[in-house]
Formats: sequence, structure tokens, C-alpha cells
Amino acid sequence: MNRTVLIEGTFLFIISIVSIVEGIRLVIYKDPNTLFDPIGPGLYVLIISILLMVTSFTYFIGNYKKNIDTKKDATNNEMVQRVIYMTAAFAAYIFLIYFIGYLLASIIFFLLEFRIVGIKSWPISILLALSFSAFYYVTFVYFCDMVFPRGIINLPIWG
Amino acid sequence: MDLLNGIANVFSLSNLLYCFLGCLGGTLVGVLPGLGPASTLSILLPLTLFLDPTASIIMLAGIYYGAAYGGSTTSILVNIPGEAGSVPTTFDGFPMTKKGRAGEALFISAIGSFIAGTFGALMISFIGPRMVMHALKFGPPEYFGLIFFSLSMLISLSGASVIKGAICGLVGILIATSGIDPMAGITRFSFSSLQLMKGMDLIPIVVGLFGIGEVLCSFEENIGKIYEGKLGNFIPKGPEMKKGLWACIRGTLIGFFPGLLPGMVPALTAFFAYDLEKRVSKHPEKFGTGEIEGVAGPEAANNATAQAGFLPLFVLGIPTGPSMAIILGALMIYGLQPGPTLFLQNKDFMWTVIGSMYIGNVMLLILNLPLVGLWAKISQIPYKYLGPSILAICVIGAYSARNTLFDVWIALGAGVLGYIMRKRNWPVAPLILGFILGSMLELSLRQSVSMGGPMIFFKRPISCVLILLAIVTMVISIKLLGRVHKEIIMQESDK
Repeated sequence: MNRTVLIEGTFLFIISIVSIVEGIRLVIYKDPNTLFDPIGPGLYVLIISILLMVTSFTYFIGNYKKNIDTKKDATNNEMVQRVIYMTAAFAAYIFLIYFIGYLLASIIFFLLEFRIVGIKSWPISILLALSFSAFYYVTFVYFCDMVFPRGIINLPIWG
Repeated sequence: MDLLNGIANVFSLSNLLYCFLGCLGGTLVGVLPGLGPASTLSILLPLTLFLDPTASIIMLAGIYYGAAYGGSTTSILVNIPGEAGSVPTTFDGFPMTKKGRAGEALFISAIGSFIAGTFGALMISFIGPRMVMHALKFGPPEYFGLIFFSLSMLISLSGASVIKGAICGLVGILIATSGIDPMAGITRFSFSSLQLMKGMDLIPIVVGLFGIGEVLCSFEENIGKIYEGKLGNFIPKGPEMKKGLWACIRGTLIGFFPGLLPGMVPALTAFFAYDLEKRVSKHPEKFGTGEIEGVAGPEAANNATAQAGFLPLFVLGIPTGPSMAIILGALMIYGLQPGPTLFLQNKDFMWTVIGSMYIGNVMLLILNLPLVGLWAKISQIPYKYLGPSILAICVIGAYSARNTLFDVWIALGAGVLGYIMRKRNWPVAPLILGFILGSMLELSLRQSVSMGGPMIFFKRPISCVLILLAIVTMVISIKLLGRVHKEIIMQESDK
């Protein structure tokens, strides 16, 4: 059995089930003041969800027996690891903006990213992180007047 | 004569200056993903109160159609649509950049935008007011028919697997239902979360799926630069230019006439145009690999729709979207009542604004064309510097949609999903199209059924024709797709 298709099918099945449950909930608990609307908020969701389940099932049935090449070389694993680190750095960035503000979070983010992409020198990484962050801060926060969370430090310059 | 007087009035120093500022501001806003014209217009509206009405509306209009010009830049260079209407431009624009043809893509995009903008201004001048009256014949059943017809595009955007495209489209439609129901005000898929109650915005999803997803894929492929070789010509030559120009003309027509309908979004007509180009092309299988028509058509349609949106606004007082609603607000603040009498009672004002659209389109061409070479060089920046920069822009783009970090999380989630979809050959375009169409489809369906039951779609001729056309188009598309795949397989086996 094709493991990837199984995972895809399971994921789509879960989405379909959640949507069907939501659709049924909205159909059952329909607001009586909305009788002017025969379809209502629930029936539309229910129909789309059922269609999704049917198409997902059709896809699964048509593909689960197909074989795929499962060989992976070492280089690919290394690059996938890099993608995971970058995603984690991005998630950390969003988290940090909330706590320490946009400017400081950007500096840390750029530093992490440049280290992940392979810039080995710390002075260059730090310099680039500071430059890029300053550029983005001046352009978007100062000139474009975008208001980012200031973080718990709450100093105005942090954006 | 009125038009000539209007154009002459634009050549006053203040009107020219504000036209330029509007076009420049609009282009910059369009380039930056997430910073849409609506938010810029709403910020600048109070400032324009200090100007005279003509200069104010000229500037606001310039921002609106300038944004349509600028949205293609990041779509082509780094695969991040600057505006929702620039999403289809990424399908072939970014592949052109990866082949070293970023300059050609940007050039034809600017030319297409100019052709569409100028055509739009011409139509507004001469036959617009009469045509827009027909737009009133479009009610909810007709809108449903049009959107149902748009669903036939899901097939051509699905690539190799129609079923994958259908699944992605349905997922997009489902995501669009999250948040507050448009008719009953009930929350759906909120799971008791205040953030989810607001629903999903298009920009974070687009930024994530296209921008973040592409960056993650590029880092996995360990690319040195987006394009490693020497950049090609910036101006398409011979047959390429001819193909591009014809696509611009088709895109303009596709974009302008539906754009007269209130509520018609440039994103939809851009998808229409892309689908049309794919259907009329001799090599539809090459779309998605860097075909110039795939850039020219959607960009022209996007700009034509933006321009067409002024007609329902001026003639009927109906804004076609949030940006137009702000311009309507500006008109009302100045005591200018939109409607048929606007052309009669404020003739000088109207024709000056229309005249400014001609001048504004020329300004945009002059602004954008010389920068093509500079923009194209972005594809030569080492990706280890460019990639993190793009991710930082994605944060800003996603955040600026609703000023909430929740949207940035959505963008990250969409980015990871986009990455996985690319690795597993799932088409991304149908998901976005489903999301764009989803809310419009539901609203028009429910309004129509409330009006006259399910049979209303077949009692109204326009709606009936569109629905039948949609079914016929879907069947033909599926058959054609099968034939194209067989031909490709035969060609490959001959090799």
C-alpha cells in the first residue's frame, strides 16, 4: 500500500468528517429567525463536505495501490532538515514578535536564518541581521507607519 | 470635446502632481504584498480633505489602478502575489524568472497593464454609462451562474490530475466558509476561538501558499540564485511579443466587461484570462513553465477590471469593492452624488478625472518600464540573502491584512501546506480559486434560493445559459485534458 496516499487520504478524511459534523450541527441548530433562507449556513457546508469526502475517497481508491520510489539520498534528508529548521525559526519569529517586539525579533530571526542557510561567520551574520532588520524597520514601521506589537518591553522604538 | 477639455485640465501643475503621487503610491502599494490599495486609500482619505475634490479623486484613483500595475512585480520576481489579482501571474511569471526571462515578463506585464488601462479609460469615456446600465440585469442568480461557470476553470488549473484539483477546490471553498456566515451571522468553524471567528483572509493564505511555500522548496533544492545564468533581453522579440500582445488584448476584453458588474473582483477575471489563454494556446501543456501569454493575459484582465470598476461607481453609485467604497466615501464627503446626474451636474470634474486616467496610465508605463532591468536583477541575488528577506516580507504582508499575528500563523501554516503540496504534486491554484469563489458562490446561491427557490436559476435566461455553458465547458475540458495527456505520453514514448 502507498503510505503517502494513505496519509493524504487520512488527512482529507479528517477534514471531511470535521466539516460534515459542523454542517450537521448548523443544520440541526438552525436559527428559526432565518427561515427566509432555505439553505441556511449548514446545508451548504454539509454538501461541500460530502462532495469532498466522495472525491477524497475516489482519489484514495484510485491511488493507494500505486507504488512510488521510496529511495531518499542523504543530501535530500539534509535539505529537508534545513527546511524544518527554517520553519521552526519562522515560528519562533512570530512568537518573539509578540513578546519582544518587531525590531528585536527581526534581528534574532535574520541571525537564525543566515546561520541556517550556511553563513558560517558570526560577525557577518550579525552585521547582515542588523542591516536587514534596520532596513525593514525603517521602511515598514517608520515610513509606512505599520504598527507591530511592542512586546512586553513596550518601548516605542521597538515598533 | 468634453474629454479633450478634461485632459487639458489634468495638465495643471497640481493635478499632474497628485496624479503622479497617486500612481507612484499605488505602484509601491501594489508591489508590497498585503498592503492593498484599500488600506492605503483609507489612510490617505483624511489627508485628501485638504485638497480640492478633483485633485483628491485623481490621486485616490491613481492609487487604485496603480496598485493593479505594481502587483505583478513580486508575483513575477519572487512568486509572492502583491495583490489577489496577481495570483495567476505567478503561474507563469515566476517560471519565466527562473529561466532568466524576468525582464520580458515584467515588460509584457507593464505593456498589458497600459493597454488595459487605456482601453478602460476609452470605454469609460465613450460608451461606459450606457453599458453599465445592463449590469443592473445581473442579480444573485446571474452571479451564481457566472461563478459556477468560473468553477470550470478548476479543471484547467488542475494540471495532471483533475481529481486532485477538485479536492483542492473543495478545500478552498470550505476554508472560505469559516468565520461569520454572511446571511445569518452565525459563526462556522470557529471552535470557540475569537480569532477563528473572524474567518480567513485571502492575503495570508496567498502569501503563505505561494511565498513561504516557494522559499521552503527553494531552500530544499539548495538553489544558489533564482536564475544562475546571464539575464536575457528585457523586451520580448518577434513571435513572443506578438503572442504577448494578443494575450493582452484578449485579457483586456475578458477583464473589462465582467468588471462592470458590481462585486466583480480583479482576481476572478485574472483567472478567467489565464484559463482562456490556456484554452486558445496551441501548447496548453506548456502553461506553468513560463509562457508569456500566462503573464500578459491575467495582468491585462486585472487592470481592465480595476479600470472598469469606476463605471458602476460613477454612474450608479455602486462600489465594486472596498477600494471603490472608499472613493465613493470621498465623493460623498465633497458633496458629489454618484449617479447619472454626476456627468451632467459636475461635467468638468468628471471629465478631468477620466482624462487623468489616460495621463495616469502613461505615467505608470513611464514609471515601470525603466525599472524592469533593475527589478530583473533581483533574480541574481544569492538566495541565501534573498530567501530570508522574502520570508520577512511575507510576515509583513500577512500581518498587514488585518494587523494581527494570527494571520501570520495562518500564512506559516499555508506555507507549510504549500511546500507539501508542491512536493506531492498537488495543484495550489484550485485551492486559491476555490477560496476566492467560495464566499461569492455561497452568498449568491443562498440569496437566489431565498428569492425564488432552486428553479430560479433556470427561470432566468442569463443564469440558465451560464450554468449550462459551465457544464458543457467542464465536459469538454476533461476530454481535452485527456487528449493532451495522451499526446504527451505518445511524444515521450517516440523519443
